[in-house]
Amino acid sequence: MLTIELLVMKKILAVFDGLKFSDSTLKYAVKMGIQHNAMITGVFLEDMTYSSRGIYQLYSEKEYALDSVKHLVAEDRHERDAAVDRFENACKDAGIAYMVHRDKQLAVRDLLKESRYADLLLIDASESMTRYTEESPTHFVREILAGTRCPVLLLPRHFTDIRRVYWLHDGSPVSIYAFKMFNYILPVLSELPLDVLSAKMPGEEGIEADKLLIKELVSLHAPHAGFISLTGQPDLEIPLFLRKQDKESLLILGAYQRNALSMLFKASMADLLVKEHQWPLFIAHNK
Amino acid sequence: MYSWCQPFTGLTSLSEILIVMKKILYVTDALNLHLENLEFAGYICGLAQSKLLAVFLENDELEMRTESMIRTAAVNAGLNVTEETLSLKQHTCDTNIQRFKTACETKGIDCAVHRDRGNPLAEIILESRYADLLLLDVTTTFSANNEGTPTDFVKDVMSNAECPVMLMPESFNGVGEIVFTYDGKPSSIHAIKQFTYLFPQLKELKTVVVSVNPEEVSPEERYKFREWMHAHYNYLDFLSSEGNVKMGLVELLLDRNKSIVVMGAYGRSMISNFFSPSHANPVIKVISQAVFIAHN
Repeated sequence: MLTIELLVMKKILAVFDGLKFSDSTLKYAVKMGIQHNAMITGVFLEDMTYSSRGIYQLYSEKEYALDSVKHLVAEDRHERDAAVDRFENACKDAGIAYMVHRDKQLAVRDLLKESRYADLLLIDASESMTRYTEESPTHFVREILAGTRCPVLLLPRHFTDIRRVYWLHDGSPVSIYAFKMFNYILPVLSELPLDVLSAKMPGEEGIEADKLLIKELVSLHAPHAGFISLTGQPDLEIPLFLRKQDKESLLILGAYQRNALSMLFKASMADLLVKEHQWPLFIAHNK
Repeated sequence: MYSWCQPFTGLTSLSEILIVMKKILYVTDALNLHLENLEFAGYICGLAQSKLLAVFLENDELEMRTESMIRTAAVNAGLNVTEETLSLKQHTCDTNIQRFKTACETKGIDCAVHRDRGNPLAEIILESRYADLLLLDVTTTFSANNEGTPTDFVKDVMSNAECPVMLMPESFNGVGEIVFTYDGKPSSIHAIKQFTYLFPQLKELKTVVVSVNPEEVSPEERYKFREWMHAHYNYLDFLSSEGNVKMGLVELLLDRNKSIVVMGAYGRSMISNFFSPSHANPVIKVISQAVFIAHN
């Protein structure tokens, strides 16, 4: 049963690196703003210790070395200003409410604090907040995922329209929590076709009571959902399956609980999927 | 230029929302059914446009209650007490389920029933994992002893449930306001968010945020909090008091009427205080409100 009513305004944080501006984040942010009547806060992290050049590029024995350093710093500042302008213009053109937050403090800690008073955080999965490129998920993204107080939508490098949703259900409480949060926070997207995707080793049987309860929950939130069960190692089968599907899908998964130690030994499903830069990943945890 | 920012065709956009059905559980001891709660439960379901899923906890594995307690329950359910205890218990459960269904029908509540026979706490925690909200009576107990409210069972459910828990008020005559308790800690924010996500329809209702010693939260953070609240609620009021947290909250909550009180973990120890018999009169009034607790 569906009713149409006035929407509560959501608060969405979109995280940008002013020196390596992510087009994908901007596009998703604007789209989410329109779709969900959300206020988008562009968070531009401008950590003092991070500039676009390494220390050796700045080093020079020439007399006017200081001038050239000043010049380079000014160039960085200019680029950061231009990034903020791009964000502002895109929001204005789309007619959505927005705010800009430029943060000169230690990037991660501040962002995590900000996430307490936000409903969703958008970030490009390849964001590293350093000059270097790192394999995704980067240290920066990992830290955000582990400490965030609101769900995160990890974005691929290129924007695609979301037309389908897969919930990667592994039976854990946190994956169910993520599914609930998805329905609360992005009700417009929960109208899209949804499939519940799970993988089990041959011979491994789920608990019957759990299966009934999960069907009941899904039938209420997404009455037309399909159930797909794969057989085999989840780490292999799920990415394999997803690669064969349309790219225009969003994946829901619960991940990154505070138990950081176990993460060191075992790559989570989120890690595996982030590496492929294909799908937006909706990740939530309740710790 | 920004062609990609057009909303999806065929999907609802901008100022319209699709309210997705929620899974709301009405938890009850199969032997002691408190139908007077149903008024409130019906209101919540109407609000969330959802059906009411009653979980009847039958506690067959480890029944600790005495024969005479079961007999009393049977009498309350309107049965003749002539059978032997085991079948009497069965019969009472069946009768109560029937009474519940009839009552729902009379009130126009769409309902379904789960019968959970195992350990009540384990059963309810599992159910809560797959639910959006759990409605509970503060007096629910499976113990043979006389207990104060909230009972140990209720406290256990509150601290272990994997979805928010709402303690139902004894009597119900509408909801006039929402009262959020805020102390700047992640768990109080979590509770406020969860409540807001479950009932976005209540944004037009009078909303009060109460805090004890609000200065303990940094001004910057308070500002961010207010900003979030203003985005989600239209009629906001902020109340505060100084000093002892327990007494301060009681004071702030005392005069509220027809409210739903929302609490984070703050609530878990606080709740017991509210119900504590030591300061009987004023405090009992507080518990006549519905209390929503979510912890993370």
